[in-house]
Amino acid sequence: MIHMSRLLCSMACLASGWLLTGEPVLADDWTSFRGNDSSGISGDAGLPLQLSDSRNLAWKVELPGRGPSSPIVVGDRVFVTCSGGPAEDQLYLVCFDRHHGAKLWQRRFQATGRSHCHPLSANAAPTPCSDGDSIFALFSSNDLVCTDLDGNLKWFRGLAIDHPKAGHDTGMSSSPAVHGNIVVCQVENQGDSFATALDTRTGETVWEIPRPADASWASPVIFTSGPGQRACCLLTSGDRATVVALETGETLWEKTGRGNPIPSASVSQGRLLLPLDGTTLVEVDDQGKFSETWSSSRLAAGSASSLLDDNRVYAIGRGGILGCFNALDGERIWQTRVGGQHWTTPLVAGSHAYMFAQDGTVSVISLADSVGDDSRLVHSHRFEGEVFLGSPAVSDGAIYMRSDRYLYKFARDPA
Amino acid sequence: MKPTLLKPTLLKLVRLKLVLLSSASDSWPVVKCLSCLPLLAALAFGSRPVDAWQDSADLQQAITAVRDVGAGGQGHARAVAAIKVLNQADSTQVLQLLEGMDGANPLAANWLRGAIQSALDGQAAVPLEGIREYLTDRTRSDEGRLLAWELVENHQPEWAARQLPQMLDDPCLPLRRRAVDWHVDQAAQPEQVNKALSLLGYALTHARDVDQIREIAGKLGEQGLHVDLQKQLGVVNQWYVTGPFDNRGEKGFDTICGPETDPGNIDFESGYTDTRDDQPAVWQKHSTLDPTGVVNLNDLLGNLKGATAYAATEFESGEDQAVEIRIGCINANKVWVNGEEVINNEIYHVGMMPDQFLGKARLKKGTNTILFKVCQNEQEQAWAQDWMFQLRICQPDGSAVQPAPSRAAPGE
Repeated sequence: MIHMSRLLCSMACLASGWLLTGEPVLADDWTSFRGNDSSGISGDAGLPLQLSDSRNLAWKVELPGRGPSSPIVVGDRVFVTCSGGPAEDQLYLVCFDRHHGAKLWQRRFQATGRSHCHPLSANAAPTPCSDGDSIFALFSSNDLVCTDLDGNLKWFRGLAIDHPKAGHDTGMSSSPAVHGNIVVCQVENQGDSFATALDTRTGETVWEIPRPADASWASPVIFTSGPGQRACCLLTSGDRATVVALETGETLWEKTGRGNPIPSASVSQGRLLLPLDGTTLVEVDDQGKFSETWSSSRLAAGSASSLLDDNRVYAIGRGGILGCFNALDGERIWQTRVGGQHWTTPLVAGSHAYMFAQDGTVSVISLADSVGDDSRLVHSHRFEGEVFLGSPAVSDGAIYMRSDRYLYKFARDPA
Repeated sequence: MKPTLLKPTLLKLVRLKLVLLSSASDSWPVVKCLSCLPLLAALAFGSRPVDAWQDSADLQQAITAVRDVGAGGQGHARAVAAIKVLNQADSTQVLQLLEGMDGANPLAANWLRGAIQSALDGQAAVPLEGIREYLTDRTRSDEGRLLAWELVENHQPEWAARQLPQMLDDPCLPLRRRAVDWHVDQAAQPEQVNKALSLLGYALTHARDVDQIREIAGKLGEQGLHVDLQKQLGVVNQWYVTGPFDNRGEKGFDTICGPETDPGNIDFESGYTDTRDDQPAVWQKHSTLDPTGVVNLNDLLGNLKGATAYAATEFESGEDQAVEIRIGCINANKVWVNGEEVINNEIYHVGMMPDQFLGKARLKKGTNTILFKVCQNEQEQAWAQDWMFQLRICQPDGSAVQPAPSRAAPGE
């Protein structure tokens, strides 16, 4: 089934050139970990500021399993991955109606790779991604499922069949990224460590390159740069950041250093924000030349990925401290202590940041420079018994968030 | 087949034929083109029924293409076309798809699993009788039977509930696990107080997963019955340990030294001089009391970094038999059985649990030598200090392989 809105969008794209990503993706979609451009930033300024069981909760539905993965939104549908079973080897891809939360379909597959994870994590840790026509759902066991939007399987790859030692018992969480006819998976661990590009149409391997044999949970980021806006893929690890050509896997640029292998890099307007040597900002010019702008050991992200929003960098450090830094030089502008353990990348929308802590607490923080540090906390609510590990998705004025048990939609209550 | 149902089916079939034809490789027989003609003719004339064999043969061809998928994307070119065919199957063809899972590799089984779920989407008429027959046929594949169970459980939960207690000895371990859970749950019911011990006993006898066995042993323990977990799990609890050998810079993993020079012939009376600190190393006997057989090398050799230890044992087998060596180890490890390497994992500090790594081995009747290499690296973090391992010997279904009664302690 092709929805009319998608059809119209595709026609509009053909008429006026592709959207920035080059994909038939609606501007209102949220198609991958941290959104369409992997920034974690939403242009939607109309999101609700209070999120609780009684305020702005549009619907809440039970999930068939656990998972730190984030929901994605494509058209009228929300997609979530889950995992379950005693060995965490049952893999779920579930589709819900965006408006009412009705479950439209559910698919279960069987893990073919190592499925054991740290008890806090789950096999469904990587966030799925979509090119608008297909869903690409990767799991910690390195199983990659491709379905259409109606749940019909297109292909299935077991990357651990090719690399039996890929994986570790903490659990993998690198999310796939898609652009054009290529979906990229970054599989870094102490066993078989590699990055691979697969043809979205067939699941066949386009290229594969070795990666450092050490654990990394970072996700690849796809961006365009240089003459002809060449598609590139940024891969970050515990000791390096590498930019490869998306079509070939050829290394275009690499920087080594002391990195944090948990958070992912961010890319915005020709700038790469890397979790390397604390944090490093690299600019890419029109000729595709990379140059380091600044590096700050004081700006060190914890587990959540930092965000690059125009001239600001937002990072969550140890102890749940949200810091705001100048993107021009890395100097701190302000910081505020929110508290809690944060695995989720915060969402920045308009002049607010939404932070979801492991203990089920959501905090909404004002990002305005004029606000005093004591007044930044706009809203805080703890969802009793909930565990938030995944990052939120935004679409059409609503926030979608999943816990280990439920998928929530928050939208402004009807006036 | 009713005429009212015919046209959609025909349209579907023709569409599927065209999909297959348009993507078929050169190796596909040309006769396929001809096979489409009756379908086109049938569509043109409207109401002529399609013979069942055509439906079935078409589907079978697609199933075969999907079953050919393998590692590295092998067979995908044909399989992506075939899966479009299978996704169009209707609920009456689910049994054929289920049968396609018999003997399918794990990748192909997932492709077929996806097609079956698509076929049943929104279908009120699920062929439950056939699915039940498939489920109760224990010669069918584990993958297929597990999916059949899920379908029956979803559509006919009462029948599934009645069937469950009888699956305690099921060769499909996920199904058996459910039956074991049922017995444990029953044992906890107040009305079953007089049968609780026998229910738990049945459960323990048939349980194969370590966590379930431990849970049941704990419940029996609460009732005053001690379970020898080491024996129940088949863990090796008697070892000889020697070291330290060098693993500075993590170079020791692929360095052959000490007993590894002849891993099939261990002399427990001998010593080694090619050690990390040039100090002679001898075998020291160690018995572990840990229920899952964990041996803590920090206790035996000291809290060393950049070091390799070897542990060895002898296992008396009453017969020639194929077994699984199942280990847990938080350090890089190798295991040899009678000199043949069966496990090899150069991975450090990513967790440890029973059955973390599996290797297939062949035991000979009589004395078998097992050598375990455990490499500790030089990570400084507090969570990277453990240096330990465990090993158990199982049948492929996870049941413990017990040593022959005449077993003597190694080296004696």
